[in-house]
Amino acid sequence: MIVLLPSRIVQGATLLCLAAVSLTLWIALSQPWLGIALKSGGETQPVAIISTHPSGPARALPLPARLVAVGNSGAAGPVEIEADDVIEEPDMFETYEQTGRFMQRQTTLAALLRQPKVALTVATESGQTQSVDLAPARRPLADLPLAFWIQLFTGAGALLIGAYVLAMRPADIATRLFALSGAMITVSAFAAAIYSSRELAIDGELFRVLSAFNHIGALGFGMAMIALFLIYPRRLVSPRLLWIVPAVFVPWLAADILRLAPSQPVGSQLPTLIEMLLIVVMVGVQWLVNGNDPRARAALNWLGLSVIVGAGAFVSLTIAPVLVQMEPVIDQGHAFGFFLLIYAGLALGVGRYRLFDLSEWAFRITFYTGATLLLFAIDAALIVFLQFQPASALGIALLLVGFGYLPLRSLLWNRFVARRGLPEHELFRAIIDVSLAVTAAERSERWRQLLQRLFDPLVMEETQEAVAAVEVREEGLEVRLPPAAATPALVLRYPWRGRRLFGSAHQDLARELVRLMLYTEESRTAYERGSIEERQRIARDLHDDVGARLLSGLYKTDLGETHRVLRDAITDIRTIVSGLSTDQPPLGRMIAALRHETGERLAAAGVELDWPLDPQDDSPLPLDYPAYRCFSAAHREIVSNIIRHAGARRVSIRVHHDGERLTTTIADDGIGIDAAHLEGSPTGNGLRGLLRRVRDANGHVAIRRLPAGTAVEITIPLRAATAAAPQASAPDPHPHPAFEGCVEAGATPRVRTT
Amino acid sequence: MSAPPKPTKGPTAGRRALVIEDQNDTRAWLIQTLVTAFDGIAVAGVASRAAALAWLRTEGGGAPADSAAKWIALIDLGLPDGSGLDIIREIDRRHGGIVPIVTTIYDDDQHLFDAIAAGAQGYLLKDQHPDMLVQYLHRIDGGEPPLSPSIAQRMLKHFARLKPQAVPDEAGAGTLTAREIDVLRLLGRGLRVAEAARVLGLTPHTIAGYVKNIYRKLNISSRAEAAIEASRRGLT
Repeated sequence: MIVLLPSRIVQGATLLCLAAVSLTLWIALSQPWLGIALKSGGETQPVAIISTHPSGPARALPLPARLVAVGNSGAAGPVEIEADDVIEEPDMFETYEQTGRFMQRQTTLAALLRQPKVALTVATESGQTQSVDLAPARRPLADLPLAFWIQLFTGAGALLIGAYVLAMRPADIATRLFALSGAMITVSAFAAAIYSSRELAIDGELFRVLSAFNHIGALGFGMAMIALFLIYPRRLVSPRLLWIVPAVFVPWLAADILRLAPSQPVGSQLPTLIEMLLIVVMVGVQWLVNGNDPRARAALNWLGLSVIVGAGAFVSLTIAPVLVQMEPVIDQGHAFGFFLLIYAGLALGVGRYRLFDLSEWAFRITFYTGATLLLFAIDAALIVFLQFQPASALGIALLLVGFGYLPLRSLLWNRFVARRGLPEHELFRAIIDVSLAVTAAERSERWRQLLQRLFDPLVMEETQEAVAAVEVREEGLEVRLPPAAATPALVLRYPWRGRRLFGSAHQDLARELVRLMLYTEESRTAYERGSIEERQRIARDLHDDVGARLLSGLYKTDLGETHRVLRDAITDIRTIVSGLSTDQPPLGRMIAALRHETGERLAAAGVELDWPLDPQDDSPLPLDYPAYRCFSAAHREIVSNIIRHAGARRVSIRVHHDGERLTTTIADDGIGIDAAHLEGSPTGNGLRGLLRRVRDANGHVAIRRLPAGTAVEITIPLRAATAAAPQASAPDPHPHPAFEGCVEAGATPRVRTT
Repeated sequence: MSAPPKPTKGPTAGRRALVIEDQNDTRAWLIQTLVTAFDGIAVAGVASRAAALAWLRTEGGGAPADSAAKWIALIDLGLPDGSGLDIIREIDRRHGGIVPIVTTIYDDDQHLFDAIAAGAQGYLLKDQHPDMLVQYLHRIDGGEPPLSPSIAQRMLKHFARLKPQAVPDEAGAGTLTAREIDVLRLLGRGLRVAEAARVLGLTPHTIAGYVKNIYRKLNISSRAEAAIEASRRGLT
């Protein structure tokens, strides 16, 4: 199946229009021309020559004068000119007989005018008649009257605007009917343009064909409009029933063309008037049935008003008077301009009222298509222009083209025509940019910008329909993307401003894009979850450790004790902020920090430290945060106890691990531990906290009395609960599975005393 | 618990110090600590970066160059109107007679490392016992800057990744000597200066000299890196 791209339809219509305009001009200009302007002056003075063309064959005629007869010295005798010969539109005759006679006279006159020499009999104001021999020439373009150009412009405009609406929604019956109505106006106006701008006569057969086209176009426009308002904005009848409209009017039209109707007004003007009435009725019906749909009504108001005002003015000013045997109020040629109102009105209403569900973007496709055509036109004009340059000026002209036009053209081409894409290597960066935007709205905005950059679609809108995967639809006119980057599913239509279709390569690109997007979003979500966990961890630790410590400080009466509690709280905060629950600091780093800290503290207290370097200390083995926190806090607590209570002079510390468990032995040569400390007396707060910590980390504490002093041995698992190691990517109701799992394990601390 | 000895230096006439700290109580307390540590020292206190820079402009010129009794500046990094790093850089650039010392509450190595790179000659943790603070102040004043294990490890990494040609060879500022690396390794494992001295068979004084040298090299190499970076970006 061939898919018509919007731009192809518009370009095709443009070419068709150009061809039709050229043909019309060619026919109009190839008629014999004398350079006289004639006007019917009434019964007594039938045809007056009101002006002559200054460079035409008749430029020497004395004015004012009236045209009496046209003859030829060689052939038949002169034919007397009648007032009806210069009539603009033969439809105004009442009977077909009158029309037939008019056509015959046109044939005769046209034959005379085609002779090399034409003898004009003219009467001057004083009543003298004289015969002037003239040689008809080709009609210059500038001699064509304003009415000709109005009809040409109206016909071309109606065709192009109709095609442009059709291009947007080629499958829609409403837009097809609208485009058809425009084409009908073109047929009607172009035909009328030729015969209504004739100087005196064109061949009767040609005239008859043109007249038939004029009727076909006029009635066809009415039929298309009636059908349009039967289904737009609301579908009142099934599209199949629309055939009733031509079923009524086509036989009528045929009867008129074949002159079978009772009279010409019945065959020609009556159906036009009936059509106009039907249009008004249908607009009225649509208006009533769309009472509860303000959008449809707004669109209808605009379109209906345009049609009624435009076509209505034409019908009431030129057609209706004939029916009541009056002169038309305004020339048909000028009145054709009213039809342009319809189409211009539509063009203006598209953006504002979303006529045919089109939006502002519909203008853009015309604009860009126009830009392409314009560039080609300039190219062609330049080539022609350069051909006629004298050799001396050619060099300068080429320089101008080379340094002026070509860069400008390239700029314009890139701006309006060229396809803009994204280099593959920038794709990933672009996606990262999208996913790293802080707010959801920003992410969505950047995602749309990226898609715009990649595919340059004319339409990008959200869809409520479920889109699970990237899919190309409507033969490549649109692509659907699943929800991503905080954006609902999107529909992209008319890629590259409607100049190309989505192909399989683009589908692959879009898939890759969405896949990368979802992947980075997932990582982002995991990261966010991690930071939430981290926040919860910090909050809990602050509360449990620092809060509890400050609370105990609140009730101390001794200022020195209070200071100590505050310093310990600050140390706790340091531990909490330096540890990352997702980070696993190497064991060696913790041991180094503990060794340094312990050394400084003991030195300040005048106690000697014996903690030799051990190759095992420098282990890169990763340490879970809970184990790290538990171990350093317990270690710190024991050293504090020694400084405060043991009266020791020397402390020996040994740390070792077997890859699974970490053990530290801290021995002092002090006064030995008091039994009260082991029983949990009020002075043993610190020690009790230590026991709780170690229990929480699934470890145990052994306290031994030495001959002189005390030895404390702490053992904890390196990874508090290896089996339940937290996984960053899997959602987990527990913020700290490892830590909490260890609480649930509920290992009772074993305290041995020897 | 036995109180540490409280050595005080002899009266040093005309010696001055500046405390830059926005918390009033802490500032008063730091001033008191300085007065305790150094007999006869005249201490000024300011609460902002702007006030500190102004003090340096008006008073800082009086600091004695090449004197044993250099002036002291205690600098809080997080000031209401900017970073204390700017003050450290200013002192490093124009006031050779002042020893810039960072006073901070949290010893996160990133901030301290940057401060040393900017020219700080030591750092103190504000939550320490006043006696300890006095002791540390004396150590810094005596040319023995502190070096925590994490900062030692950071320094090792810094010099390892430093491209030798990136730093003009100003007394080998871009590279560490084998001895300096040994010292950093030991300190990075948590040993204190005296312990590292014992392991290496050197005097604590020599080790302190190495540490001071490492401080200086970090400062020089950071400055050089900043200059190279600036010229690479066309800023100079």
